Amino acid sequence: MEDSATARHPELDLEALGRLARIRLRDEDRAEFQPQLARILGYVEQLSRVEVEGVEPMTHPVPLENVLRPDRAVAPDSREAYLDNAPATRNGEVIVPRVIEE
Amino acid sequence: MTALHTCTAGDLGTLLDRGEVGSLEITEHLLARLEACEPRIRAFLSWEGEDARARARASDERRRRGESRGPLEGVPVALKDIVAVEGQPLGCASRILEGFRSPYTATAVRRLEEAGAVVFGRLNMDEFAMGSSTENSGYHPTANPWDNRRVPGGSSGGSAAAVAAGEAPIALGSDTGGSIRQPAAFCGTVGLKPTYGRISRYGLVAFASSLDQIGPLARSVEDVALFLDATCGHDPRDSTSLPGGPPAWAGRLAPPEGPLRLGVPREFFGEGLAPEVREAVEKALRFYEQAGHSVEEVDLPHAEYGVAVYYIVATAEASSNLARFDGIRYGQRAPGAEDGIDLYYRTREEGFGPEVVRRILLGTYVLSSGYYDAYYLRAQKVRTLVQRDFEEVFARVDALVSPTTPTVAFREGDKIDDPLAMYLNDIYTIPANLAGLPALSVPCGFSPEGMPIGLQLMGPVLAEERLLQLARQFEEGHDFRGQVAPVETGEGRSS
Repeated sequence: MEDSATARHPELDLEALGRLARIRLRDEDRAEFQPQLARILGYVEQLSRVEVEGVEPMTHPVPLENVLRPDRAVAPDSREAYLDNAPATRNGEVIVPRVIEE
Repeated sequence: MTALHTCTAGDLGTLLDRGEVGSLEITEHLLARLEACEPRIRAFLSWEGEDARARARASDERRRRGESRGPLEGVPVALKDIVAVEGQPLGCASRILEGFRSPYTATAVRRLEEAGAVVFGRLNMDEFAMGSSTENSGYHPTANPWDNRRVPGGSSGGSAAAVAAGEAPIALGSDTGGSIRQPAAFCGTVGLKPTYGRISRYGLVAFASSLDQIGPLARSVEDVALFLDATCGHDPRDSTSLPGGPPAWAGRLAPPEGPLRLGVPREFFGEGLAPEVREAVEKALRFYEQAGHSVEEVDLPHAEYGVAVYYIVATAEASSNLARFDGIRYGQRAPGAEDGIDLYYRTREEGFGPEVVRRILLGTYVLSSGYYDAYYLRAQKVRTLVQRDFEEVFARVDALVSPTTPTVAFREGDKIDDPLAMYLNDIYTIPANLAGLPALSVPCGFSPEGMPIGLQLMGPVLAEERLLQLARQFEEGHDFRGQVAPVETGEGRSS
């Protein structure tokens, strides 16, 4: 079953997916995930049997509408409390590695 | 006096009201029970005994001043490691959130506090609520109190095990595809997922936002109602919160007025249903018939697609929700990154367990350009059809009765290497999440091996009261109320 499912999903490029999801995948991870994901995709393939012509897609179980709250000033969350959870901070700022090339 | 850990929350409330016991005494007793059970059960990731005692003392003080906040005043309620409590750890059983402490408190937890409950503990779960056995915890598995070689279910496995073992009368759980009802069934407890939007999700870590709901696990229907009375109601901090104030269901648990029409979805009794589960559910149906309700078969023709829809919709939403775990602003940060992008790669590789990675990859795939229409959009359309099936059926019947799970709790390690087999465990629970409907699981029997079996009741939107009344009627006709699993505590088998 694994093999036929993989054959139906030659486009399952884990290298590319890992890049999109920003997760580094080692060779052994890819070897484990490839047949598992192919099998799951083989299973969800059954949805192609369902007639969905003219059916509205459902994004949410309840209708959502915008509401306005009263325009009142409230005490803001404490900056310190949030910065306390950051892995590295200095002078009230989060420290990150270099993001701009030299 | 009965041992306090075998008391339901309702029983404890009576004892507290009569002044026969204080909250501190209850809390001490439960902490001792927890210490005795945890070496085997491992339902908790952590607990802060001093904080629980301080909350219990404050409750006793309020009671002394005549300022009781209601039926949950002084009653301990344990929390799944997925809701925020200011100053306490919040990790979703994931390494990526190791060391994180919440800067604020979830609305559901705040309302429990305002009801006087002694909230405590961080209960184990599948990492980010992704799983059906609690084996995907980033820390350790949890044992089923009825048979320690078996799983407690998941993702709220810690919640179910703690309640079943008598470590807490009530536990908070969350349910995205069955994560309250399936472990409740596996551990012989009651568990309820409310209508989507009933309980605020503010402070609940998001897995799949259009499916996630907080709900209770407990050893009686009344206790489930007490939790709901305290936590349901509109919250301006959750944009999907339904309008309306808090309910008062705990005092309205008499049998439903007049005979009800109960539907039995044919599709929930097909291949894969274990004979002992089928037998227990059929017996329950005969009970309801004898109680005067009518039982008829109904069809939910798209229910069979529920698992497929779920693993597209839920993974798509998860891949987006979990993008926030990047090692920048909170949680763990992998060392040695060369630049910002490399930091993401390393942090997420080190921090997420394999099931979380699988689901993020799957969700990324179904949302990616070229596959979006074939997978995500199509799944959303089939979701509409699943919801329509329910609408048509609920025009004819008042509630649906089915098994909660196809089998009783399976053995540890049985399904962990086969994600699809694990997913199929949620085949009967997922449809209610897709349609946003209330559903509960109530104990309805035991397998020949002594494992609990759960009966699922599903209702139309906002029909929680009817489900509670039906469940209570079943409970009153049977002996499963208040059952505590016999746990080896080091002082021999005890309950």
